[in-house]
Amino acid sequence: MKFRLAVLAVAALGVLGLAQPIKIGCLLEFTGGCAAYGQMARDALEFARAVGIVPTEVLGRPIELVYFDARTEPTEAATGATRLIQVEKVVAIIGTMCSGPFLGAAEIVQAAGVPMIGPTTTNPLTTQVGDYLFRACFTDDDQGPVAADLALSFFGAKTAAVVIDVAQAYCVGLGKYFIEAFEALGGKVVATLYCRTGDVDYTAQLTEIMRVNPDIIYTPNYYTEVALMARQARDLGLTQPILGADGLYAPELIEIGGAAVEGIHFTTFWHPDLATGIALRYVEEYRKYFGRDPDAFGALAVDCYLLIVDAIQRAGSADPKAIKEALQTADLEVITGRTIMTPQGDPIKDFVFLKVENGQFVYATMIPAARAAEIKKLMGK
Amino acid sequence: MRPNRVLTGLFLLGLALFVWWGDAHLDRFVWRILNFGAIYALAAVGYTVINGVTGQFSLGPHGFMLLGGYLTTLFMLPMHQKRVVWLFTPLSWPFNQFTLPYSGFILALIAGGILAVLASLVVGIPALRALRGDYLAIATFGFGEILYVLACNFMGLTNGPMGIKGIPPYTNLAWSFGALVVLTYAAVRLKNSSFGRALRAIREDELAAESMGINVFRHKLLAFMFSAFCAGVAGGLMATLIGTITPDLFRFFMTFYLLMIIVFGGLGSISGAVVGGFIFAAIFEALRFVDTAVVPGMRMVVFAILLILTMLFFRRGLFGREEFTWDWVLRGAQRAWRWAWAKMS
Amino acid sequence: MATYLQQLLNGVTLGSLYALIAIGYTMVYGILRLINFAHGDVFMWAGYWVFFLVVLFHLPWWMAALCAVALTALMGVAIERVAYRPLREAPRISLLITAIGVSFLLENLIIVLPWAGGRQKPYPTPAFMTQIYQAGNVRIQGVTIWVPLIAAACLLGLIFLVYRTKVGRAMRAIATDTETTALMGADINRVISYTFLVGSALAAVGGILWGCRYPRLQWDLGIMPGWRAFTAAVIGGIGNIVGAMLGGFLLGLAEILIVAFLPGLSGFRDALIFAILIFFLLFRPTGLLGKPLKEKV
Repeated sequence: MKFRLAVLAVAALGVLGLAQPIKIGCLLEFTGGCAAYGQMARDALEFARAVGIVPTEVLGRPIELVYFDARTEPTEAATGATRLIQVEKVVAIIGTMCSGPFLGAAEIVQAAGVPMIGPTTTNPLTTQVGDYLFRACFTDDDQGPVAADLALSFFGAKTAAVVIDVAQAYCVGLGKYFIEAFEALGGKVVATLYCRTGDVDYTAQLTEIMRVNPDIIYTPNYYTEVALMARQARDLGLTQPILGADGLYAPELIEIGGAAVEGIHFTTFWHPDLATGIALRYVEEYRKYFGRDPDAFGALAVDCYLLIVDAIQRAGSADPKAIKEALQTADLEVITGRTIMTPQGDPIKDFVFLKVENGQFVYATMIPAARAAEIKKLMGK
Repeated sequence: MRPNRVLTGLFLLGLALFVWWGDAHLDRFVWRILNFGAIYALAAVGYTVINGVTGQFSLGPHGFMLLGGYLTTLFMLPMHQKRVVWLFTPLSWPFNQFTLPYSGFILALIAGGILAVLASLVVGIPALRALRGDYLAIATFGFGEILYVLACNFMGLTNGPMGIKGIPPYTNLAWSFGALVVLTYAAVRLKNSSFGRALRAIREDELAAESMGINVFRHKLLAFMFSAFCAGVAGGLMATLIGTITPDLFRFFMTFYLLMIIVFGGLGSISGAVVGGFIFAAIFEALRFVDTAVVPGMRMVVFAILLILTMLFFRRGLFGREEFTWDWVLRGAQRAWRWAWAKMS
Repeated sequence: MATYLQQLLNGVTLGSLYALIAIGYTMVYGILRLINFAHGDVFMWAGYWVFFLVVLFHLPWWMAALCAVALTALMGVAIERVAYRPLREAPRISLLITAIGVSFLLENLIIVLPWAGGRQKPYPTPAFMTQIYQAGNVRIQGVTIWVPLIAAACLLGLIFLVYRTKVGRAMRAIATDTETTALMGADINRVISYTFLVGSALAAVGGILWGCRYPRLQWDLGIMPGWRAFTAAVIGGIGNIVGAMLGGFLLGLAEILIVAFLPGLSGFRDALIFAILIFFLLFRPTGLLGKPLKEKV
């Protein structure tokens, strides 16, 4: 009798233990400068789990997402990471969307030994902090050269003017990488102009651009600044093509920019037209669920989720260290295509080139990851 | 020995034991909040000396924290980080030449404080002489904003808005509480000395103080320098607690937090600033649920409403202008004991 | 040549917007000796009112704009009533702290409102504002013509109100000497309410026109224009209405010219604004047109 009771108790404990949820932290920006990206990520994660596109349990245990607002501030991200790890006991973290807050949390996450994947943190520094830090996207020191190559080959531009938002690490970095590559590949940057996040008047910079009359304008800035600048550029009669970067892929670009952003091209991570495999259903269901096209930010957040779940599956445990080791060798078909992770935490990813046409983001062309390496070789790197 | 001294000694001993135990065993989350509390309290103690005790309204502590934070960072950042972090503009001389070991941390903190003091002279000498009230507030606020813009632009020192990562996380309870205790002691001594009485005279009536022979400008300037020193050290501790620093870390909202702390604690009360700092850090975390449960950003709405309500209905704050004393505790304990005794019998 | 003219027009447009906001700072300061920290956020709310009325209630643009002016003006009066009036007898610093609190409240309310939020919103711009006119080499947008015209009309109306009406006389009297004016039988509270009404209404006009020029709404959009307008008020001589207009135009022009001709300094632009502000506070606190303030002992 005693023996049977003991067996029952052990079994009950086992079942309870197994049913304990595995917690994954979502350290995302719901307020502050990157609020749009964080909200898109949460929408996509909640949707993907609700309609069953992604598994909601692994190793027989349910997966629970714990959200935390990183407020686009490094301090808040740091506090958030501590709370998620210490109080919520998460085994891995998805986030943050922007590189600044990511760096704020990076040291803490590394010290605690919990893997963290930034869906769209393109700053090359972010994964250098340690081996527990990953990203699901390409880096800016590849994106800048790819944009420079497109400016030269796709647009046939010989001269370029660059407008950089100096208040954003992302914009400053990308701008410098572009200038470096554009000049190394034979182009000439005739004007480098600066603005700051929240600036609303670009007439001074644009008048200077009118004076030097470049073949193309490169603005690696966030969507609001570019939308306002494009409006004023078209009002002033500037007709040069405008080339941007992944920060533009938000509906606000078109809402605020209106007709002025027609024809803007930019490099980014993904577009729904490229969907294959699991992504086909994702796109279809997303359109039904939200009545709008899915975006790259949400798709990459879901990618992070899939990568973590796959790592737990392959590691056969929800131990953070095991997850980290499994992540380093990940090779998985996710929403944005095949993702092969490198031990440094930077995956090999293709580049997508989009344009705005009739108030829609339209797929223009695709640049394979191998091309980025070639361009860098051409630059003599 | 007076009983108060004994009690203070016992309290400090207890605190030291707690810190020693806490640095090793305390839950990291609570540990972090306590560190933040001590750093906020430290900056608030300095802030209340100029704003509350002297009555000179400054809105610039975020600028002084920024200076302290960056200088401490530049001293302590390991060489290998100094080589990788400055991607575009290389780090300027002399900071690219050296780094301090852990034993130099105290020097780095003091240097941060001293830099803040020097900056306080730059703004304080003209501003405290010529301006008072709101005009002084605006001038100091403008100075803080100018420092922010400079921090964004001098890439060779600050790495601009990209910030600096990989700062060794030296700050622990021993450092933050140690700095808090030392500087709070200095502030209390300052407030209770003849110097402090002169400061309070200036707050009540500047003209009267002047006619009594107090050198008003010199007193104001010294109080301002003290507050800048506290802010500078607090900035250094904060940078080495978080491990990264960006100009955005020390924007006006930091001054807003400090203002809430000293207003709630009681303008002019050093005890209020200390208690307020810890309460703020705790509430800041505790109120997080309104952000997740209601709507992100709700917490700041609550804080703003709290500040307005405090000003409208509770202008004294927790302590008014009074200070914490052991007599007060003892009398309270006595009363509680008597009450309990009466209830029981 | 065309470039200079273009820049000049841009400067005038920006300057008239600053002038409209600066009036509110200067009038309130003249009467209460309070730097109304929340004024820039009241300005920001005007743009959001238009957005709410157009997007949520589908009002035609001009009706939404008129309602937005009214709502913003009422908001200004309500803020004074609830947050500033109870502190009339308190130290002025308490008033300033409350104003900072109100400013944070107004900004963060936008963030938590479900139909506004932390994300930027497109401001509805009417067609006549975006119309482009071409004159030789100079391209002029409707906004560039309408903003200075509307601003000038408002400012003329304000000058009439302040110098030719009974309320205006009471405002000027209170600005000179509050106690004596009260003794003479003026209802101080009513006049102060009027001041907030007029100041906020002008800020609302500024906010609505600002939206037409820069069609993006965000919770923090009032902060920097607010500070620039405040600097304009100080340059013109705080408390002086004509001075605020002058300061606004000067600052608008200076800002455009600095960025146009010294582009290397554009990263330091905000620092320059604050340096000018501090310089004036220290060395010419009465501004260009102000009379020396009587020190209240």
